[in-house]
Amino acid sequence: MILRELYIESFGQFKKTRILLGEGIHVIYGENETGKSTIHAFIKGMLFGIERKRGRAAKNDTYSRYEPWDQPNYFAGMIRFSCGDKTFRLERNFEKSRKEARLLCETDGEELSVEQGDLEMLLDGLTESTYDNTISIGQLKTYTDEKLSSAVQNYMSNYEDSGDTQVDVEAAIGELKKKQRKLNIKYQELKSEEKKKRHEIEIQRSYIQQEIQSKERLKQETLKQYERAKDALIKEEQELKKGEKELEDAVQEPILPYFVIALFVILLASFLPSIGLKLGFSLLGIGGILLLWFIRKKHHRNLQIFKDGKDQKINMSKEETLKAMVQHKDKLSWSLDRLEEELQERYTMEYNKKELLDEWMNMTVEEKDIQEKISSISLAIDTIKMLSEDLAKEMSGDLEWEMSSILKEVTKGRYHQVKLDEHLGVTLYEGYQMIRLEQVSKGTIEQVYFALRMAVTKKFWTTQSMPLLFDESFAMYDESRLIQALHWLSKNSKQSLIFTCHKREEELLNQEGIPYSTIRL
Amino acid sequence: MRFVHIADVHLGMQPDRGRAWSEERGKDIWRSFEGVIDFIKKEKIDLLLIAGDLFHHQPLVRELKELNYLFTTIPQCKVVIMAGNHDYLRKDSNYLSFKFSKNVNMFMSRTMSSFYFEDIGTEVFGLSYDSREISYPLYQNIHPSHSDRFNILLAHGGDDKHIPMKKEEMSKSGFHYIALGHIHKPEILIPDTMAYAGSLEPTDCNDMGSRGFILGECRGSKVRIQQVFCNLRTYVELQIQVNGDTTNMELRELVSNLIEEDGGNNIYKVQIIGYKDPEVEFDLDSIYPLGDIISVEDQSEPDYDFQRLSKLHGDNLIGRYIHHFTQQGLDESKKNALYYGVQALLDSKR
Repeated sequence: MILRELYIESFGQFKKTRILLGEGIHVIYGENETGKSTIHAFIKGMLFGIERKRGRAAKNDTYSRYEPWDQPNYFAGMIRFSCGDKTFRLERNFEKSRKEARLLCETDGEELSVEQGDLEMLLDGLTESTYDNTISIGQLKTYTDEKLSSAVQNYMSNYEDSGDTQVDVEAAIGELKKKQRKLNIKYQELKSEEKKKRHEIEIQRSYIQQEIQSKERLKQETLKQYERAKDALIKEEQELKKGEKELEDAVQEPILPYFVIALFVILLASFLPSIGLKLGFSLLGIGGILLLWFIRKKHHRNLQIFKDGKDQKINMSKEETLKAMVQHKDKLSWSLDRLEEELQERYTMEYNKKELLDEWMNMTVEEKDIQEKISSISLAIDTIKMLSEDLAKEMSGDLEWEMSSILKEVTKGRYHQVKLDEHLGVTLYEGYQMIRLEQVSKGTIEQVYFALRMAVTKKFWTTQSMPLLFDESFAMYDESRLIQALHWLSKNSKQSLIFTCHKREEELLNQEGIPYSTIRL
Repeated sequence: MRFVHIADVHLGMQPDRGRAWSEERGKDIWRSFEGVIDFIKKEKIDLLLIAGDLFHHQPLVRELKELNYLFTTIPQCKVVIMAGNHDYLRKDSNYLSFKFSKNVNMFMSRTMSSFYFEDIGTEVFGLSYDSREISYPLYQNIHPSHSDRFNILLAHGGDDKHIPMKKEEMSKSGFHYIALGHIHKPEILIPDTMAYAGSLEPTDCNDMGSRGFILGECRGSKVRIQQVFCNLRTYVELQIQVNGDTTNMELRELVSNLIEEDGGNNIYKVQIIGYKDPEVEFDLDSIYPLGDIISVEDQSEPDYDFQRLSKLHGDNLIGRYIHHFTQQGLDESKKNALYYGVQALLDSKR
């Protein structure tokens, strides 16, 4: 696009002012307060319209600043420009209640529509922010390397803004991460459900274990009782046997003592004088002894009968006790057997539950499916990151290359290479030496900035060139640097408008023999 | 002489654990087994061969009581049981101490032995597992002792950890029939000679197809066997074809209809295939309640025309992303990554 004519009907301090432009360098010279900024604002306003800001901001917005002094609310203007081989005419009325814009193709008479974006289309999607970053080069500030890096980054992201198919990598990755989180939650849900089921089985298992424990205890007790019952039984049987023996013993009445007494009596009798006496005495004695023996025996027998009777009773009750004890023992024995069986069953059941839990270690189909999806998403995220980094590197590579060649030209070959690292920090190469930005002079930094701006503009505007508008940009340049810049512009820029309040630019242009035109305000 | 060969009954197992129908399926397994006993009673079968894993776990005494009761109802049939790798003979296994009915014979140890039934002229050789895994080829070089008897080898296993077998060798070892167990899918390896009976009911959602037992008949030394399918329920795969217009409601209807067509009595694995609207996300959770559904897999792909997209986007990030994946071979996970990425990138533009 080339600006051909600016016609200001009424804008700021200008009234019915016409400025004709062509290709090449234009020096727009005016002292301070002569309206250079006004013209900048006019051009921008014509291209994009002027929005009235609201509230407090309204006091100092562009609208207020350039509202014509004497006829407020009536301002308007026209610019003519050419795109390719066609010329266009753009008229605007900025007044807030009557904002109108007309776009007309002078070459073929076609009326176009600004509202419907025809202007934008003609200018390859030019937006205000792009305008500020490429076309309009404002007052030069002193750039430190930091600021330069952030400037580069800024231009990079705006450069990425070109084209209508721009994706928002951050947003895309964000969406993918969100999906992943949702899937993870689902996975956790499934896992916790599984845990619950396992827990149920564990509970069943521990319940069985508890039963086992209490039955074991019962078994031990029963065993003890059983042992005691067994011992008691044995003792009882032993006692019974003893009693019987005692009884047997008691029945016998030993004859021996009587025999001895009888002998004694006979011995005594032998001391008696006569045989008759001896005999009589012995007979008497023996008779007496026999009598005694009989009496004793009868007595014994009576006692015995009495005893027998009593004993029988005792024995009967003892036998009953015995029977009861045997029954008790048997019952315990049977309980033990039952307990043993129950324990066996439960041990088996417990073992089975454990095996079931072990069996159950694998992931279900659902869980596996989710894990696969999660890893696919990770792959997607990583690939996007990798490809966008590649893309950025390429772009920065392009930018680097462009910057390098521009810088080389304007520094007359002194700094022939610029390198941008991942953080878009800038490194210069002087010969083979690597120099960081802190180490060079302010003037050089400004040249680097110039190279950056020019490179970005060149990379950005690929289908058509755009005019460059410099607003006091070279105030800080020293002479030789300015000369280089001017040469570069002359060679590389189709249309440059240099707004300045110095005479320097003109002088140097003359000196260097660079063709240009002047506009005096 | 007629025999029935079963294996891998897995009594006591509750397949599809955790699902609502799991307990019922456990009962199904018992019912299926009772069905076989019924069949034996009606058909007056002479011999029942159980080639291992009759129980899914160490049998409980009360379970053996139930089992034994069934055996007492077929007194004229001789039963031969071996323990497999699931119901293996632990030293305190109830198999060892339980008093089975007279017609039941069980291999009590890992040592090879046999049962000879003179009245049917049949000798059955075999052993029982005493641990979960046996890596020795215990069936190698086993031959019957009397060639004039009808010789059967009852065996369980066939993979590396469960008695590896050289099937060719075994088939030439002199047995008239080799009754195998361990593989749940019934398979006749050598017609009329060697076969896996398979389980009576499918036990796992990957056990697709019919299940049952092998019915055999022998006259002299000639054997004929046939498969009899008797399973109560089957795992059925339902494939739903979707397209760019399919909505969630429609999907549910499609599933319900297919289930109804099938009779609704089986257990279903739903697979969604086809090309769907990239904006639509199928709610798989809402499909499960439509029947006894064990799994729902969404294998549908978003309906992206990658060629067109690639051309449209050329060399920018989307174009490069598509190219990155389409130029390499696409496996499942890469395909999904492609879909996820393209969707996210396209969405981020708005």
